[in-house]
Amino acid sequence: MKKGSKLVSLLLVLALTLGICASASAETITLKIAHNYDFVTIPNAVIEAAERLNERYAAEGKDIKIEFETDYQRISWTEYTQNLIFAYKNGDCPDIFSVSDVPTMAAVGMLLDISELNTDAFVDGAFNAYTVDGVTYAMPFDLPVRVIYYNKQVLVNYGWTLEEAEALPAKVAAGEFTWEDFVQLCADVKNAGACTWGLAHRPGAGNDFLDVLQTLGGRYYDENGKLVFDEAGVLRFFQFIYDAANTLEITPHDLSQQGWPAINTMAGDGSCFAYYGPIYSSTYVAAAVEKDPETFAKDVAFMMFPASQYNDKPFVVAAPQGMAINANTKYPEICKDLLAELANNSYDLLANHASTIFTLSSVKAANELEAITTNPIVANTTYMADYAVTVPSIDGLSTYTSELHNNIVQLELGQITPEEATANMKVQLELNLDEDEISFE
Amino acid sequence: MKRKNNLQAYAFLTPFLVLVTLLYILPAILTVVMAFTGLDKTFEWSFVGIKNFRRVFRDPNTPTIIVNTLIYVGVCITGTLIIDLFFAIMTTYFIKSERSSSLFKGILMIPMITPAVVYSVLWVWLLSSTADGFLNKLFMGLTGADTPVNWIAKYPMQVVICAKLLTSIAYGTIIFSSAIKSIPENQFKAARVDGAREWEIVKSIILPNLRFHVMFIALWETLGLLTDYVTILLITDGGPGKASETWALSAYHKAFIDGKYGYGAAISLILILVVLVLMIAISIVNARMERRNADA
Repeated sequence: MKKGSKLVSLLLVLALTLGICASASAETITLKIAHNYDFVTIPNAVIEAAERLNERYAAEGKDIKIEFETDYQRISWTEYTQNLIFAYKNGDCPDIFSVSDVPTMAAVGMLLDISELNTDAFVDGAFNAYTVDGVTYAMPFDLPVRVIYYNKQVLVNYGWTLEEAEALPAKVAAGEFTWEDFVQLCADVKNAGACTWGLAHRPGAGNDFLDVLQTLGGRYYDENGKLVFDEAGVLRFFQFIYDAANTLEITPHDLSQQGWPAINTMAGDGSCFAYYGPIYSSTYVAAAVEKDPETFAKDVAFMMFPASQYNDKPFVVAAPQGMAINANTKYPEICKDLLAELANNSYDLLANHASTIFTLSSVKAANELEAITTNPIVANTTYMADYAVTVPSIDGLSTYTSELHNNIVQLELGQITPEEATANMKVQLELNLDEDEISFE
Repeated sequence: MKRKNNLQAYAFLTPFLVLVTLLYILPAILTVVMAFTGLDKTFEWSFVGIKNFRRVFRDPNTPTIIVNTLIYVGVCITGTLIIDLFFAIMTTYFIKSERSSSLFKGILMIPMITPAVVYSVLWVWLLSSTADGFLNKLFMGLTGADTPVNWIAKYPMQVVICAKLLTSIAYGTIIFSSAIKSIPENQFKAARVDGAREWEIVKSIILPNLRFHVMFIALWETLGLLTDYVTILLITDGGPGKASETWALSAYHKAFIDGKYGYGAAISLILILVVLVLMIAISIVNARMERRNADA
């Protein structure tokens, strides 16, 4: 008996020692992950997915343990992209990183081809922005749509019932409320004194303006994803911008000089009736007026860009945020496994991320999870996925939006006419973009 | 012995020369090379000949940018010289108390020693387009106007010139003050004995004695203003539109905002050539004046 117990003890000690040796021999792989700006739930989803993948590897008998070294920045996206390109050229690029300018990064050759990732789990078109010449270079982590924010209380003050105010998005979706109606409403609520301004937008250059351009029938890319200068459409857009500030006076002349804090406050406290921008800006707008999501959702609602006399269907543009893998990473398969883990098994992490920043998820199954369906802001916008348009990766788009904004500033200040703005923009695009980057219509 | 001393001097200078080569000469050569490439955000060097220069001269904004640069440099130089001379004469010739004049010069130095970001933010706050802006509060209070004025958008060039002028005053004032102090006292005494009035003393004694200092400050400030863009960048960013865009700022915008480094380098190279021509021209004028003085 004594002998037997000694033997058992010996076996136990041996097993324990072997176990410790086995776990100590697991290869620890340290991946460097980089991200820019606020939404750290994006890289954090990867880090949490790695923990689950570690368990999966252990269950499969693979002696691999993934750890992370993080590099989170808060700089301009242009600077962040340039830093990554520099780092890649110097052989010091992170293994996984958030992306913003995929065409440039793809041209540098720094992105790993992840075309083999199963895209069936994702919302249709979610990969469009990350596909260059048929090759997929990044995985979308969410599906933020750019919408029109409007303040329901302003409409109530104007004389609508709350039910009528809340029914507006449905009327837009049904095509019963058009862009022309919307612009008139912006002017009416302002003129009636229900608010100070009718319509606001971002202060700097960005893609938000392209949605108004599209609403007014202008197009900025062709079926091959090549940049297009649609002169008639751009002129219509500039005419609207000019009129909004100088004729209808629904937009402040100096909106571009006011900065984000003032604009977020205007959009959040009802001093401006409507604002157009990404739905995830709700985090900033709500914070500017110190409201939690529930209170914010009581005052502010979202609608799609309505149909107009130039565009027969309401729409929203979905502009995902995502991550890519360094083409020279030492661990390409592990990095791909991580993305696959998120897409196929750990999509609850993507749902949490999407819910945190008030947006839909890029993964279909994630949109059915409670985190999204009970979110006070996102829950009412899930129908927009059916109307979402995804834009391909367009080379030269940043130059286009930059020139567009230069003219918007001068138009709103009344310093140039829409015709002059259109001519200016055409000349600058001709000068700054090569023939293979843009076509003129 | 002399050769040994020379070697020692060269040995002491070597670290400095290495640093100058690495930090100034090499980047200058790189800028020249870069100006003939299509270097962009992808950091791929591709030779494009004179394409960047053609772009600069075909750009319809170029005349506006040249005019802005001339106005900015011209008004700032003229203003700086006049104000510098005024303060230098007032604080050195008229105010005899060393304590009071030093205090005044110390106050003048505040804008110069304030970090550009802090200084520019202060201007943006003073001229804020909202009713809470300092100038708007003053304007609305005094005139009874009910809408605030967007000062920066309405007068962008005037604003950046004023902001720049205030930072430039101290340096020239101190140089001119030192120069006035070095004028022999007997010149002033002789003038007073001859019955000269104060304005005649300023015109006939102080200003002629300062002519080389004026030329130095004019050259120094011109070079600084041609290449400086920080104040404009922080207050107006060259806008609205191109209303306050200067040559140096447009090089920055093309290179670091649009990511067109080759194009930005071409704009910089043109600026370097202009500065070189200007320096040579001023040196020639200077040499001629010295020769004429020697002949006289």
